Amino acid sequence: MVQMTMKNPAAKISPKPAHDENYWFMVLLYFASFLVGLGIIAMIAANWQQIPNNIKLLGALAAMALNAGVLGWTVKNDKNVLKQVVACVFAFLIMAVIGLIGQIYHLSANIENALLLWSLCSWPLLLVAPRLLWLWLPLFYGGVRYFSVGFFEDFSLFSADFIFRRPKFEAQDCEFVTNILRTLSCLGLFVVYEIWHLKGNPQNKTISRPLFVYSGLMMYFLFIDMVRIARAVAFSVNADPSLTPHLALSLFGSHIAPCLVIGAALYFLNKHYKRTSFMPIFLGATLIEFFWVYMMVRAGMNDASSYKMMFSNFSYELVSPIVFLWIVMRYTIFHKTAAIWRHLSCIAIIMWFFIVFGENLHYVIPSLVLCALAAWLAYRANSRRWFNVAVIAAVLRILVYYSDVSDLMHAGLYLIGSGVVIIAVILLLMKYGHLLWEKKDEK
Amino acid sequence: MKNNFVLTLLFLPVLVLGGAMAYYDYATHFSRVEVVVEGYDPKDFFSGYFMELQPNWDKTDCTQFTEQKCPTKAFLPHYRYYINREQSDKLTAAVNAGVVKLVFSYADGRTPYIVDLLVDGKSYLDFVTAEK
Repeated sequence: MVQMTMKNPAAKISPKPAHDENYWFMVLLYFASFLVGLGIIAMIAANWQQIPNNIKLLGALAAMALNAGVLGWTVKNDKNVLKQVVACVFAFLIMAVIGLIGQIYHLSANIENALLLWSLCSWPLLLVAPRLLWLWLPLFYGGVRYFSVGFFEDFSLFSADFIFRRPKFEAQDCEFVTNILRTLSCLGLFVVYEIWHLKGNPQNKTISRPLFVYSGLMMYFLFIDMVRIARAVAFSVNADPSLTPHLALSLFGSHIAPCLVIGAALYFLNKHYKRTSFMPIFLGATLIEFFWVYMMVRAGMNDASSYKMMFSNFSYELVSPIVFLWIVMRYTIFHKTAAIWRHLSCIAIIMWFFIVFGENLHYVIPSLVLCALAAWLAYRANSRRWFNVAVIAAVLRILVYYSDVSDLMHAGLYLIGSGVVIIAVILLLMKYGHLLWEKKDEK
Repeated sequence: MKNNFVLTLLFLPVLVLGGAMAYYDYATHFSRVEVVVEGYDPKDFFSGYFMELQPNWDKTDCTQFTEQKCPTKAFLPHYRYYINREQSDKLTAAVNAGVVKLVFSYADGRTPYIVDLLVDGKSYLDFVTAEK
């Protein structure tokens, strides 16, 4: 270690920062790229039938090739910020071109096929802009999840009728397989995240953050889904209470058992690596939820109008979301990878922005005055971050005032224009913003 | 070397989607068959800017197929035809009147793909233009 330091003392004196760009600017640049991408999709969805199909297709290919070329240029010339923007726009362009092909050839393809094709086409972007994992992962996951469910339903490769042999449950056989697949696919992401933390490099936040957020969300939706399905089944068969044990077996088989098996496996894996595990909470919550759902099913089957159904509704609409949101939050705090307050402040700004959303000038002028006041206060307080946020908020406010989403073509033009204006303002602030502060320092 | 490989990979979407375009272009050059269609779900007829249409095999001329029999299994139960917003009202009326046919590119053993929508025997674009 000492030798290494001696050989390269500069490395210790000026280590390369983890983030070489302003956090807020990057968030806004991604937002702007998102707008441009949505604009491209809206323009294509407008279905310009005056333009011959071949020209549209060749134009789309040329646009993609140009985008790939520009992205390659940004990588070669080390233009990091521009690279992120171009990669994000490219990801949306690929989606738009898939939509264009579907539109021109009138394909009745499902969204999951489109998502899988998009994932296949866009994965090389992750090699140059790993942050796109935030976009790539859920879309790939959505494609795989729905594709696998549809595949098993359509081709009946795996039948679960050994669980239910009563004629009344025929419709639920397929549902049972779907539930197992849904559960396993939700837990799959969770397992990937846990194994990544145990065996991978936890310092790589670019990869661990999306995995952690999505696995937490998947857990949440998994449980909400479980309660929803249990309720639906309970209501549909409430005439025959004798089916309760079968329903309980189905729920246990499709939801609880996979959770318990995977949870226990991860618990022992964590123990093996001598890491404090989150699994006891997960396992305990799974069992409690199973008991909860079982009670609801019984209530639904035996007496649909009793206070037990009120209890069921209460649990479904209030208690379950709170309990499992808490689990997700607990998961967040346990891993300590998310800067919660930073995200909350971002949400607060967005909320403020939407509160003053009216298009009337009476709303616009006070908003701009507020932005100017915030920028002045930030300048006085030497806070570059808040100064930049105030400037960008003012730009966004003006763009909202000029918004025109009367039809797809206008919406597309407006979105692309807005995205480009925001990107331009941010790049200007990044390049010349420091001059303002240097002048202040001189004074 | 490795960097150049990554940069080349960035053109993968162009290659894959260019291939998809070439495939669909090829798949829409077989002989044409006309299948009578009707609105799949009139309650939710135009969802976005496309129509849901389902083949009506009772009204379709089956002599146009090689075995003089309609190969119903080769076709999907319903199809989606993309249009733009301005055309939606006129086409709704036309489809409700029951004079609409989908033209497919069809060959035995291959997936049929839509190439046109006929209203009163005319391509729907001509129909919409004539109605103006």
